Amino acid sequence: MSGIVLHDIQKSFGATKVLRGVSLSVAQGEFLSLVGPSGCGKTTLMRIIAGLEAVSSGAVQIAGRDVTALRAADRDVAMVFQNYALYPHLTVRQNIGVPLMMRRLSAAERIPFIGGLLPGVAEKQRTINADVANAAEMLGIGKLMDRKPAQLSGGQRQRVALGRAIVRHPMAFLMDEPLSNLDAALRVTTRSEIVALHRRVGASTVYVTHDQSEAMTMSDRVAVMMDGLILQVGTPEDIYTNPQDLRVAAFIGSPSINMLAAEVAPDGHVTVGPVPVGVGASGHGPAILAIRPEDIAPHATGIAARIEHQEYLGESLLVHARVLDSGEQVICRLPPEKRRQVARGETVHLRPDPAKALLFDGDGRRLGSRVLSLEDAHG
Amino acid sequence: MQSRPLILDLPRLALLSLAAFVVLAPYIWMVAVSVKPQDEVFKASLSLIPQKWALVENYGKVLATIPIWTYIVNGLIVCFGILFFQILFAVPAAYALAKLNFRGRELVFGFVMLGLLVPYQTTALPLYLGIHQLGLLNSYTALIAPFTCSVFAIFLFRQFFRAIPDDLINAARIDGMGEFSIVWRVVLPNALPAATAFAIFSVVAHWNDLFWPLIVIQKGDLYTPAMGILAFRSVEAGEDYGALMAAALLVTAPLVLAFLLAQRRFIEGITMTGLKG
Repeated sequence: MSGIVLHDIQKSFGATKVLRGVSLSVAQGEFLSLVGPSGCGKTTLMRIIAGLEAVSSGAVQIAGRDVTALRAADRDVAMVFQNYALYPHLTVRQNIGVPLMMRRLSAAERIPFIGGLLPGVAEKQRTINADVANAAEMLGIGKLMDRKPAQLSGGQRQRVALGRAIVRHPMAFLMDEPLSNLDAALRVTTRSEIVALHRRVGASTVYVTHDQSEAMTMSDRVAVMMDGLILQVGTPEDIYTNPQDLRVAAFIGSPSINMLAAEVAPDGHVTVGPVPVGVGASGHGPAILAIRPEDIAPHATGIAARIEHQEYLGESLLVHARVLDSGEQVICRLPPEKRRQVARGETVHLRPDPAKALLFDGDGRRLGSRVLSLEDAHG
Repeated sequence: MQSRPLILDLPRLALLSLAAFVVLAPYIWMVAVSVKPQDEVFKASLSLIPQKWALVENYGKVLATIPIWTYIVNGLIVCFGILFFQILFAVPAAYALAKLNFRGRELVFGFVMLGLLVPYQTTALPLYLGIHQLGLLNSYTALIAPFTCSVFAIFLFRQFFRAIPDDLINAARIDGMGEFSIVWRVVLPNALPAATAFAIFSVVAHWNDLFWPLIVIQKGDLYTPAMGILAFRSVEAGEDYGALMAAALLVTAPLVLAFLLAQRRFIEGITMTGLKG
């Protein structure tokens, strides 16, 4: 059974098209990240899944049920908001208990004071309190139950927000940049805690972020969005090593991928400037050769470039160079011990690893390529 | 906070005390007169403490002449009845105007603004005729009904609700609340300072209102406190100022007491808004 399925979702605000036909399916229990630059429509897409925003066209299914016309309350999804959106006037215990109270008690039973006198309410209230205590225990916030949100730190509020989401075992979890208000150290630890929590709870999770490192480290699969479209969905490894669109290649990875203007000769050999790079492609004409910083290195022969700048990171060395012919900037990630072998101002010959080189056409679409031995290229 | 030597605060304290005295003087004078015998009231000397106490006489006269407790109970029923319905109607309306998107919202809000410009005296005559035709003159309904929809309340709450984050409301929707639950369980509790401020305006205005009750009430047992004083004055032909002030004091006492008790809560309510959830 599928967790969340989106069919050709379109959304316009007035004349602005925010989503231009998004289809996506999230498997039961899968952790999927929606990643993209701000304004790409990822938050709108999440709000559509949650039922906070209506679609202009398309359909949303959750657990095999068409929920497109249902309001948020009836969709059985839980959401963690960027600013946590805790109820400021309620204690932590009440905050976490709200979704249970709204679902398990009838309208009459929820009336303050009077509701509590109805038969069976005390019993229901007990099970709610027990479930709330369980959720709080899971998140390690059992000691904060009687505080108000204003008395909590950012990390604690975030846990309360998570508690409010997991307490009712929803079909799907939606998280909208839940870590962006935490400091850097807390963000890294909370990252793994959320992943562990997801494994325990096992609900399909959609996680919106603009931070590619969150998307890459936490997800089963990553969906890269840009300009209202999903460009590619795949495992983090797939997205990194095998991007199908130049924009995906450029967005994922830090420092970002190197892009060099290339030419496919009529015989299928790819050259950067005058230099053959050992890659073959079908068709011919201008193309873009994209290569990750760790897949290009100085070599005896290759693309001539001048070293402009070095960054020593401890575990690696980033060398910034400028291609002599075209003036394009290239960054190489080298082992740190190479530090003494390259010097600023020096000219080196850079050789991309042909097996890792990615070729794109002028529109940014991926081209099929194959490795050629350099001898072939010269022949 | 560091405490400053008292001497530095003295000028400020003196100035504030003077201002407070100016504001409070009539009330203090009223209290003083209410315990003076008739002949001392018109004495030229400015003394607050009477030479001969007339507390029992003055207050006794009020209690014996008019059913002041009935008037005060009437006042409470009318004021809290009005406040209850004003909140009941204005809060959902203000929520819709502040947070929901619907066609014509700006137009409706325009009408609210327009309503703010109309003084209620202008609508008194048609309202009177309407109530007369419904046969509701001389009833609590006649005192309460015309004030149940307050455009001022809608406007005040709408401005306040706009500051409530949308995500808080979205979170409530996801937690399973319908729009009415959101209004009463999330929006109103987070707007308590606005509600308190409005309650003060409303209760003070209607407790002291004389204009409308005079129009619709003729029977003595439905008199509001302000009408009660008027009745007392006409019964006494406006001569006995000591007793008149005693009556006025009794009528204003519930308000003064309520404010002294609510003061702390009110300030708490205001400071609460400074904190972020």
